[in-house]
Amino acid sequence: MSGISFLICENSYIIRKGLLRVLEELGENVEIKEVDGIEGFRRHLDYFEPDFLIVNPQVFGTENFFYTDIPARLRKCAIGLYSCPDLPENPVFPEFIALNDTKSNILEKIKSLITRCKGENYSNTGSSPEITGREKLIVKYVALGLTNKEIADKLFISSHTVVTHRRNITRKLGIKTVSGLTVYAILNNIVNIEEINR
Amino acid sequence: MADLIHANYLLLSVINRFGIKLGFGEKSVRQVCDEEGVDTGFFLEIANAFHDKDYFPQKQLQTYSVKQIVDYLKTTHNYYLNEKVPEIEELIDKMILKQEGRSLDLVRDFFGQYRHELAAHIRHEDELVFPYALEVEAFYKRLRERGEVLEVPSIVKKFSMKKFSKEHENIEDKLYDLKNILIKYTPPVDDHALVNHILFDLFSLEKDLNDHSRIEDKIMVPKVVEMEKAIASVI
Repeated sequence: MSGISFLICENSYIIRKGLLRVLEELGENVEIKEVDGIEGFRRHLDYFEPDFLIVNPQVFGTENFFYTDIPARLRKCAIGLYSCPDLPENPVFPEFIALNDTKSNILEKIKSLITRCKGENYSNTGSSPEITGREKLIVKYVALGLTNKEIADKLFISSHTVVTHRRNITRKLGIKTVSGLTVYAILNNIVNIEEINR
Repeated sequence: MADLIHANYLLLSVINRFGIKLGFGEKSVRQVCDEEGVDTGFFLEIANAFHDKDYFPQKQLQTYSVKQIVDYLKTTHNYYLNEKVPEIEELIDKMILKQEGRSLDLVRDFFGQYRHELAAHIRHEDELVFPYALEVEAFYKRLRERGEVLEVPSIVKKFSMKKFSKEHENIEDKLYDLKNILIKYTPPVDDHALVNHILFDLFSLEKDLNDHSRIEDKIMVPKVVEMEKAIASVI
């Protein structure tokens, strides 16, 4: 539900591993696959649909690889990985990482791209780990079997907001599935079993 | 071979799935594999993919057949459904016997739901995905041997590996939830050792399942996709 996936394409083992280490800071729900060359890149895109790409342009070797090798859907969500501090004159990538960027710098760039692409604020700090009253209410409705749309109608908010609430709930509780949330709701007396069976 | 187990004891379950038993003395991996009639290249590929999550299968090593992969994956499925999951279920029942309480019943029901989901997922692979992969391989072989276009089996026309990958729903989600429910939200159970045992088993089942799906994704899927491409270019 709240997962984000990356595909890294970079030929240097050390750089790939380093980047992997940095991306792990984004949280548990991040899926990262890596490839070391153009062949693996193409093969992966055949069956894996990442949300974001991080690619070293040098791997592709051609000028217009951005348009020939990167699927249109992903061009807005692609990050260029540059080994030199100077960025190219006509940047095609919406975001860049340079080898001498600091860790927080890299994370900032990636988070800002995620925010731009997903249209919501992506950060795993700043909100309290306990669930709010509003979120509790949503857990209750989920446990009672309501769909996101039905919850939205009941609370006079958009479905999109419900999705955001549910994402936050999952992050805070560490529970992803509807039946898991139901168990949580019963254990915490947010609902009782009679209500659910009704 | 013994070095392998020392390097990663989780490979014990992998060697079991190949029918290799302990007591192999100083024999090398190749010697043990030869004696047990196991393809050494294939064994190493599985062991590597299982052990190292960043392992990339080497193309030149891909001499083994889809059938070998499918046989291995089926043995693994069998291990989950008929050994590991019942084992955990038994432990949960044991916990309930020791400590009455509605909340533990919920845990058991939840795990029961997970078992159903896992069984359905495994059935889907055993009955649809694997037969498809085998059919693709058989057709690909016929095509290469005769070099002419034969009647394409309907299952090959109807499905694609990509289609299956998309359906690959997150089977581990419930397992993840269950761990957190036990760790954070179940009222304390007196028998610590028992709860720890259950949690260890859940963690190791989760890891094993992840390693398992990595073997599917990295070893089986690319092989079948490549054959699909070769077939598509001819027909």
